[in-house]
Amino acid sequence: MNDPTRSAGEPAVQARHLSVCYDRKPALWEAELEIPRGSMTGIVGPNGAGKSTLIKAMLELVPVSGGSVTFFGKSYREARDRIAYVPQRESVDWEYPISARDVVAMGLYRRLGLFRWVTREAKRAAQEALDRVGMSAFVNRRIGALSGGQQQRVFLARALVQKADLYLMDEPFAGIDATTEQVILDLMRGLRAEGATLACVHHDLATVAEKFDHAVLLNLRVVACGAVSSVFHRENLARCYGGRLEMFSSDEGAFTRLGTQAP
Amino acid sequence: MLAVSYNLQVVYLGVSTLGVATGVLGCFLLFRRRSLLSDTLGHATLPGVALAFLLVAQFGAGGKSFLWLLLGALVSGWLAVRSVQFLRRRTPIREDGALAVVLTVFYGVGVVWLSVIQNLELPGASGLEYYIYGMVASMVLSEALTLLIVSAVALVAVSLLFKELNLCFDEGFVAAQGLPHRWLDELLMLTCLVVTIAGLQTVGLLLIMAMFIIPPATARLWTSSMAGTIGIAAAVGAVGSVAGATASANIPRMPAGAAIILATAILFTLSLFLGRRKGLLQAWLASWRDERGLVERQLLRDVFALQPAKQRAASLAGAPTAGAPSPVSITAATRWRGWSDRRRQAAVGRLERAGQLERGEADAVRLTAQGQRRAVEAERTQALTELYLTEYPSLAPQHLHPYVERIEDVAPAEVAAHLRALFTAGLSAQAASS
Repeated sequence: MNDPTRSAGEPAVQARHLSVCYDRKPALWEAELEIPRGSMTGIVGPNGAGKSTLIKAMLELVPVSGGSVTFFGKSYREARDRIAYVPQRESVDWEYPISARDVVAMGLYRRLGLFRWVTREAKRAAQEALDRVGMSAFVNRRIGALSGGQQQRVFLARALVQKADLYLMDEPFAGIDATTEQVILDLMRGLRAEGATLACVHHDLATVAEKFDHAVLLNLRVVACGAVSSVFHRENLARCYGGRLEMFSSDEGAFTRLGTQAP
Repeated sequence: MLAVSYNLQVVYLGVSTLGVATGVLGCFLLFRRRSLLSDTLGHATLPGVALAFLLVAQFGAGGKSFLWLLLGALVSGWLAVRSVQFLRRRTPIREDGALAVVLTVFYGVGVVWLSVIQNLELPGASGLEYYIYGMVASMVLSEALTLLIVSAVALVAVSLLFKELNLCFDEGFVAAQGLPHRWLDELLMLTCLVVTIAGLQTVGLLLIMAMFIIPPATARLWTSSMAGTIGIAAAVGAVGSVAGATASANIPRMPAGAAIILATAILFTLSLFLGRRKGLLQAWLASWRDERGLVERQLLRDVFALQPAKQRAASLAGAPTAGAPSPVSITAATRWRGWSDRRRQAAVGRLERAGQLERGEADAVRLTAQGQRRAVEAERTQALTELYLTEYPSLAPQHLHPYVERIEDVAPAEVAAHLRALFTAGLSAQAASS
């Protein structure tokens, strides 16, 4: 599916021995992973496996208790301008009276600098990004008044204006309608075609193979990491999900669709 | 023109600018859910004021004592803000608990110092009361100008950082981008503290919080936009302050703080009832209208449900019905709804007047042609909403509500079309099997 030679040079993300603890309770254990350039990687694992924590730890949003991460061979601080982050929808304040366009414009704040108002060009860039995600009609709508799928598209538009090389997304496909899902998927594929790297936390095992070419199987530790065709098989899933895999193992169809053989 | 004395002009200048500044700053406190912090700020200035007074009396700084008191207020107010932050971040105590602890402890310390001052019978001690309850009548031009300058600086600071102030909307994104957030929060608090201290002698530390919070709370009842909220809050702050100051200047022994808060509270109360955005009157009217429509549609559907099955199926499929609908007992039809007799009769009366229902003997009613059409439409919508919930379980609950009249109002066009197709297919399958 994905040609590994495209990942020439330093990988987009390389994590070594990355560990996170919340109150002495491990949330991520010595994670080792590599996300090749130009890949579309799904980060999957059971609830509480540390999927969001992994992304947050990479972005230094939670205190890391050990290990290191590099992006394109550089530290996060050096590579910050090349990385766009799309947080989980639940993590923001929906009551805040801010319009869709103003949310998208936030993606340009770093470039705009302090003490300056949002410029006309920035507003235009925000408008264009909203057009790209099919939200032209909702530019001035308050973000909290939009539906879940529309909110997700606004967040994606905010990532788009950053013109990043790496997009890290936390559950972009959770709780959205089919239209939004298609819009997001098309956009992601378009970005990858332009050379960007994408990594998403994803909760739906059944659709991993159709959406992503790479996968990180996570359950506190990284169970497997690599091309979907090589890591996404029953043995790994069983290690990742433990006894909870029973509900999937009866569905042989899911594995044939993946193009891999059940052991 | 109404003649206003020079003294009152000075007062108006001072309090109206204070009102605008507190109203605008308050918007950001409200948006950030930091309202209670301004109360803590106000109360926490007391120990600083009292201690500064003691020190000044001890070492005799003479004419400059006013500035020393404000410096004391600044220091203790800032200590309070830091204490709240420390408790919130480093201990299991949450924000509300931290605020309550800090407010009461600081205020308690202040009251103790005050009693010490009173026991010492120091000269000028009675003036300290103004810091607690506020006083406008004695305002001189320099004080009014101080308020003007402080307010202007605060407003300039807010407008320069307006873009960044919105970042609290999404803290995760902000942190990932390495944008300023924490120090911005502290800058906002410091600005609020400085304005609080500037307004201390006017409004008093007990009630200054209300000047920050009531104007934006009032504005929220009129608009959901940010610019609108800020504009209305500024206006409410100015009008309330001027009205309160007028009352305080004209009524003997009326403390300025209380008068200003009362005037602002009157605006708030009016907005509470009349506000166009979720104001009580509007909300009540809307729910009354929704409820009436719902009861009418339910009643029509209940009557329709007692029609012969064949006829029902034909009407739902959109075929012309053979013969008029048959009369049914309204009590029997709606028994399971749990409606009071009065409610049912009121609905029947409304539908009769609208020409959708005819009354027969006893409690019998019959659908007119118009009523039949509305009943079929309601029945269809009901079936479509049920399909919507089962076909789109992740989408439907975000949009659906019990008062929906047409499925197009709560579903995207292509989804509504799909549901209608499913419904029609279901009807023909039913017809084929029977």
